[in-house]
Amino acid sequence: MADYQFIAGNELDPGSPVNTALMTRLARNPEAIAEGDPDAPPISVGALGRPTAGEVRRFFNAATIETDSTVFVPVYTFIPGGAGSFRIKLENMGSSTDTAPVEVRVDGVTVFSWGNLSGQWTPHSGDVSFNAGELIEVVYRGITAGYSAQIRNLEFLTDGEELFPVVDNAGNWSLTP
Amino acid sequence: MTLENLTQVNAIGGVQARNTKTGADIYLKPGEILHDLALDGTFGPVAPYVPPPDPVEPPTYPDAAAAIEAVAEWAEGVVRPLVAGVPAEERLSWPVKEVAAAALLDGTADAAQTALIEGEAAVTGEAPADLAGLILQRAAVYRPAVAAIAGLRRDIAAKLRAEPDPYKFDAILAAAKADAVQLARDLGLAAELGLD
Repeated sequence: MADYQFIAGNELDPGSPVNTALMTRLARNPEAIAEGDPDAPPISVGALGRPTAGEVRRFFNAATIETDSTVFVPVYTFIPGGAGSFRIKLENMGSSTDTAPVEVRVDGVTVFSWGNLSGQWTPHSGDVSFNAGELIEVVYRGITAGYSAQIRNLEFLTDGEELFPVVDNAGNWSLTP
Repeated sequence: MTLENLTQVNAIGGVQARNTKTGADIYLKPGEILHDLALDGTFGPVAPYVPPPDPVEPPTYPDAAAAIEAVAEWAEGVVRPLVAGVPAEERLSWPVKEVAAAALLDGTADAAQTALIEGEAAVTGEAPADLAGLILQRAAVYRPAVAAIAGLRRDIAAKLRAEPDPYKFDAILAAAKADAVQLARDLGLAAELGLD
């Protein structure tokens, strides 16, 4: 592992010598940062990519998830690496004639609120923009006690960039599309 | 990019809008230029924020079948005072006993019918004719009651099947029960059924 070695400000002044010692540090310090040397400045969450919303699948869960809760409960929560945007797609349905509202939240702010056609799987999609370190939540609930709300085919998609969680509260992330 | 279906989606004025180019929704954050343009009406009307509806209690009966089952239980409860303490096996003999009692009183009873009435009378110490009279008296009460209940039950079931909204089942049942009480009074059975 390369050691991170400090470069003083005066070594960068005009007329300062460009010697082997300086060039070595310039060459090795990026390696030390990439390898996580304890003396190196840490890589921030925001540096972990610049995804943009698109049609390349980066996460997919076909399972039908169900709740009979009438207060919002999470389907999926995570803090993605980097900053940018991704597309979310899902289908939702309420049992019988009940509705099953779904919300997408970014750091606690609802950015999308989707209902569903009565008793039918209803597709939705939205482009979620996020800053570094912001928490993404997909939450859902039923309206009527005892009637279930369902979600299936949850997808996160980008324009080809990687998208992965720094914090994956649900613990079921897979990088395999 | 053209936007449609613009709706304020939260209490801070953020706007959810459909991007017609991608088919996906986007979020217009307050303070952004697109948000300002949206509120100026550039992309059409913006629906105001409507908080998610409060949870509601489920209907008493989720479907017509459950409500009809409840009607049947209710009907059994209504006629129970008329049959209280009588085993089901014995109730099965009531139509036969009614015919036998009528035959005994008008002198046309055959040997089996006579034996049926006299057999019970011998145990209780009643006169066979008195027992036959009592049987016919009870039958006169029971028969119209069960007939009315059967008619009401079928009428309620039809109304329930025709009603798609489970939340309206309670009102149908309440109205039907009120009709039943009134019918019982008309038949002179209110006291007998414990309705008064």
